[in-house]
Amino acid sequence: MIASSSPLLRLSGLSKSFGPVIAVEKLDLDVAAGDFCAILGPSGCGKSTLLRMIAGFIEPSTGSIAIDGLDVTRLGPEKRPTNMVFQSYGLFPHLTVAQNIGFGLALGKRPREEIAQRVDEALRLVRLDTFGDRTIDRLSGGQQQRVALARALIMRPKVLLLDEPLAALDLKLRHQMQEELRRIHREIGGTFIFVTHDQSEAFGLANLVAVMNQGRIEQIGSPAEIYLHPKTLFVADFVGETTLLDGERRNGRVRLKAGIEFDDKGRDGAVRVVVRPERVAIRPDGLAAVVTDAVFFGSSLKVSLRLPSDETLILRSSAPDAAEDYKTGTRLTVGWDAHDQQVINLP
Amino acid sequence: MDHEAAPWSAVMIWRIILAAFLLFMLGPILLVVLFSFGSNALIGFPMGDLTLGWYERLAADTGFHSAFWTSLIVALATAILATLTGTLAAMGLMKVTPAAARGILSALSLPVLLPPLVVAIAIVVLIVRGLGLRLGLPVVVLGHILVAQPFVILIVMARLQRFDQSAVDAARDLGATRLEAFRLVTLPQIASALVGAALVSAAISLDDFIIASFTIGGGNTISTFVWGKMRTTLDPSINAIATILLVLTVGLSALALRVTRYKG
Amino acid sequence: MKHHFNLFLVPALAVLMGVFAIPVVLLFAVSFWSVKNFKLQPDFTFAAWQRFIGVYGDLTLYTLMIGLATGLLCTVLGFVFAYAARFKAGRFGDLLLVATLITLFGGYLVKIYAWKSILGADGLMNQALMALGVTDQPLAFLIYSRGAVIVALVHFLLPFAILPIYASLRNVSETTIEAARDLGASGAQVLTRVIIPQSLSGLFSAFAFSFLLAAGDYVTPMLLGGTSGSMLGQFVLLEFSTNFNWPAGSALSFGLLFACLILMALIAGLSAWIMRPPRGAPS
Repeated sequence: MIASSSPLLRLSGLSKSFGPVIAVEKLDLDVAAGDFCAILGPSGCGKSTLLRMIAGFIEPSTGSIAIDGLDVTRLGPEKRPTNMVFQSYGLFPHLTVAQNIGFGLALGKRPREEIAQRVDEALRLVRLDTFGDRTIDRLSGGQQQRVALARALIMRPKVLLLDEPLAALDLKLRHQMQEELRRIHREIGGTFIFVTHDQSEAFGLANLVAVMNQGRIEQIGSPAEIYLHPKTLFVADFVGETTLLDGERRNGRVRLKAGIEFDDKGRDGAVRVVVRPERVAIRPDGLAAVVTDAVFFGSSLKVSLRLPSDETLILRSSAPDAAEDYKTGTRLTVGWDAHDQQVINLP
Repeated sequence: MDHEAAPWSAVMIWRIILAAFLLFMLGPILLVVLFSFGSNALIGFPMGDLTLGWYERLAADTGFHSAFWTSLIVALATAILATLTGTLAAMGLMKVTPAAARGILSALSLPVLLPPLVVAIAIVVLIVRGLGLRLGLPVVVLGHILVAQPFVILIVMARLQRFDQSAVDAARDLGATRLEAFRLVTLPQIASALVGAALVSAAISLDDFIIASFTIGGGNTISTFVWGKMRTTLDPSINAIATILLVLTVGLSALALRVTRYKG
Repeated sequence: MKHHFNLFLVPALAVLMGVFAIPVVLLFAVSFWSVKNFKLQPDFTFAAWQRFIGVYGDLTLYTLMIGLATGLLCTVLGFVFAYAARFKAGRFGDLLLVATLITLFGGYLVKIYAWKSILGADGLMNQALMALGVTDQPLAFLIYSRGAVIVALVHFLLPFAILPIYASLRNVSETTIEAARDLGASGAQVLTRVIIPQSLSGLFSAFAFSFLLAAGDYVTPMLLGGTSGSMLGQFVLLEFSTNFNWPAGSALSFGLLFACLILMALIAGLSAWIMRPPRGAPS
């Protein structure tokens, strides 16, 4: 995302160590106003630590956090223009839905009529119009999350933070909630940042994805960029399904163990080539391969092929009668377009 | 792990507060223990020389002997019986509806909430007047079981709630009868809780004074023995008896804590 | 399918019935009996109750006051300690709890005796004060006073108060505290609006327990109270054991109990009113 003027949220040189353990290495991140940003990574990669630093619950070891030009690094969570939707929601069990949502406003001693009116608006926004007087223990998981969302949004934060928002929901609910979040984001035009380990969750919501691994941001970009042009092996492997083929580059020419050669500029040395399964197809002039397995997933057929180099190539076909073409043991020739592959140097 | 580093002045204040509390709660007891080793009769400085004299005197005191053994017998009986009734009750409570469990547990805990004086008097009235029987050790034991069993129930229930029922189901699936499943699967796992509960019951029994003093008829437990001495304020061996009592009850409690790995 | 009753409950309930319920009911009945020539006989008279209200009315009020003071002190101090142990002590939290528990079942008499020795005219406190030059005469009011009784009662009952409060504090989810801070709450607001409302049951248990046990105590006032620190329990003993006036002993016991229950109901109502949720609740 190109930041037009200065970004709404700017993290500079931010890092966090707990004793000898480095949770987050020095990183920079810019998020523009109106972005829906996902911080995507496996558990333990530091994404939750990062989110809590932005929220103000963890003090960074180095670096600074600026929101709308204001340095908030030393401010506690009470004073930052951020609000968070916690993974376990943290709803107040002794208050009703309406009282939960209005909690922040009541703290700020807003007039009763204003609170009532804004709580009603918030309830409408998350489609819980008649739930005001309910107690928390009567709510389903999805409803609880919407209350947590409303409670945070009513504060009109400059940045809304969400910690694994869809993790606790079952599949159907997840899709529903995804749509809800997108709708709400569009409606209020806010800036949202969330962390998740689920790639489809990240892609389903965000326009800006930052992939994290072991405390480092490996790549930032739109979902398409991340998926089609991964810059590191980790990103290639973590995001979506992929085949990684061994090879070597010399003088601008790449030679794959599997047998193909092509031109590609870059640093000499060992490389891996990333090929997305849906870009692989049967080609008369392609690599010789044998089908070892074919699994029907409903929307596509996932075929595992063994190459002469003994590597495994994954192919996905959405053709309706694909199963006929890919019976186990069938010998085929497969290939892909040059611009569908990504060459990544090994470190 | 997430807390911002608090300013160290705040941390110091809390440390001081906690230290003050501990001093208040433990100080007086430690003083008694300390002075039981002093040759000077009363609690105060100068303390006199360090001596085990008071303990020696106690060792020779036959009144103390009989009180000591009486206490042990009563405590042992209480431990066994209260653990029995309490454990069965805990198992029963796990099997009834939550509402019934709450009600029954509250009822079983009532004897602990009421002043022991009232409980003791009530027992005496029933035994002496209502039934025409004599007071004595069995009555003392019954009274102790009454106040100890709620604690047994709490301890055992805490353990049962963490207990994995599917292990028992697996045993039965493999051919064990209900009794065998209990003996081979459940019992070994809750054994530590039972031991802890027994130790706590013993501590409660040893420490009790009010119920024992009303229901014992003749004779003494350690508690009633030391009470007798306290009325004649000047007997310095009180510190020693008190320390012995303390060591027993606190020791049992500490053991119980270790055995059950109590976490609050 | 869960039932309302189970056979396993029989032994414990039998003990409850036989050693507690029936005796207590019988005792209550006895409060309406009469004593003639030191012989107890079944009757129906309010003589014992009249004795309670007439002779012991004032003492009951003083006893309730001491119980109330003890209950309040134990609850407040217990909360401070439990809060510190739960939120501010880090790794030592468990250790502190152990220290509390260890003193729970040990030394009822020992503790009272210890205070007698500390607060007495030739006790530790006076020795210390005189050594420091704060006073040159032993302070008499330290012992045989209402204050001494309260101090000793609080000392004995504090661990009993700490436990239920600590248990309910543990049930307060840290996430609700973070959420409150995230929404702008200061430390004090987190305490009053999030932590305390969630630990009300523990606070009430602590208060009920320490209030009831304090009000019914007789050993402490016997050793530390003197005349001004007398409590009703001593006279229950007197009527029962010395005067052999069992009906009076019973009436005093139940009279105190009822008074305590009424007071607790009032306090429960009061705290429910104080803890009603803040504005921000559209109907």
